Amino acid sequence: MWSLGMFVVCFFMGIAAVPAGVGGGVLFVPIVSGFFPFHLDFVRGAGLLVAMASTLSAGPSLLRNGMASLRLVMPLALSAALSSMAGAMVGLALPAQSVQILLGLAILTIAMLMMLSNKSEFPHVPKPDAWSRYLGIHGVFHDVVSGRNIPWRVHRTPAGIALFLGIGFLGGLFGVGAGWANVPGLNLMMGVPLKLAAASSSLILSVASASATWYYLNSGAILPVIAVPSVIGMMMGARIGAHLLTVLNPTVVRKVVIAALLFSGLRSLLKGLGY
Amino acid sequence: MNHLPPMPPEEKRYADVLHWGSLAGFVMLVAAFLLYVTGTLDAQAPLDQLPRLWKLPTADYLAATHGAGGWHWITSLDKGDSLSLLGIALLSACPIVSIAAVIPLYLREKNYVYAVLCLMTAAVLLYAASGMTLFGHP
Repeated sequence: MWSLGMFVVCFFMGIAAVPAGVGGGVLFVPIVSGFFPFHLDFVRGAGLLVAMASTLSAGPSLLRNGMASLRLVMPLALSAALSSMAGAMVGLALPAQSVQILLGLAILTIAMLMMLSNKSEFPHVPKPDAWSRYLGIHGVFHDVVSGRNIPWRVHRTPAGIALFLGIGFLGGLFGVGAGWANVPGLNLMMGVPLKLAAASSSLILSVASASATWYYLNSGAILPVIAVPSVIGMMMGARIGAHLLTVLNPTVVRKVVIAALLFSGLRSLLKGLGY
Repeated sequence: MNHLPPMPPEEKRYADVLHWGSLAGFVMLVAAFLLYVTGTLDAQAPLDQLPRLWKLPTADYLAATHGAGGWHWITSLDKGDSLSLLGIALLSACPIVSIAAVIPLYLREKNYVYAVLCLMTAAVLLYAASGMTLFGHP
């Protein structure tokens, strides 16, 4: 019965997540930990699996369509995978109540950032930095909508690597995906075109989430009866969400998701404080 | 309208390995879960006891179900919940295999920087997978 409930809830989260431009994990952990009877350890383990499974299934087509770049992904994925494992270790060592409070604060901050964040379709990169020149992080990506090939390059690579250390840590600590932070980090900080940033973020997330998922799995913090229906529900919902992209108004959906994050973040905070 | 730029061979290989690996993982995950929830296979933690057990922290849950951390679950693949964990492990292994698969291509191109980056990322993931990170816990 609870498995069916998880499937249904995750199905609707999946529908909302795609048009809102967030991964499933950031909705999953606060909502499920706030309103379901499971211990936070198992919710975070399932959240990581949900985040990883969605990105694994999207990764191959993103690469084949020329929307993601392995040269951009690899240095950042290494950074995020290292810190994601560290975040998972710290998260499972801390008392659940403390993590619940921190989670509430983090989700409320994410909702605020989503309200305030800007995006730049094609950011201006006046001069690539020395690291990106050395690593050869540049290329041409194919914009399916316009049919154009768009050259790109990046700057502020060391700052980007440092940022992904922080993002990976939070992802592992709270069991949330980090699309909400990856995309602005790639787009606004490093100057990656928005669509390339969104697609490459997905591949980075698959590597970072895998590192933390292994830690949760080895710690016994993944319960199949919670995790598996969540993954299946989220993936089915995300497929429908992708089709509804042309019908739904993304701005309205984004506002609904921000409201859900504010509500569930507040619920997490209050639950952590014992209310 | 421009043509799609040629796909670098390492991206093609990464995409292919990730595609087939994740497909195998999903099939395994769903099949094992069906065997588990339909009661076709016994479970390490009986389904009717889960509402009491899933409220516990992981260390207490493992103690209550006579489980252990690390790869202990692989010794009981005749149990539905352990078999489901195999599906999860297969999915979690996909990035490791995909990254490892492109290392020879980078070496052939003499792109030693990316070969080392991939090697380091795969090593981090293997370390996480090994269970050595648990430091004797839980």
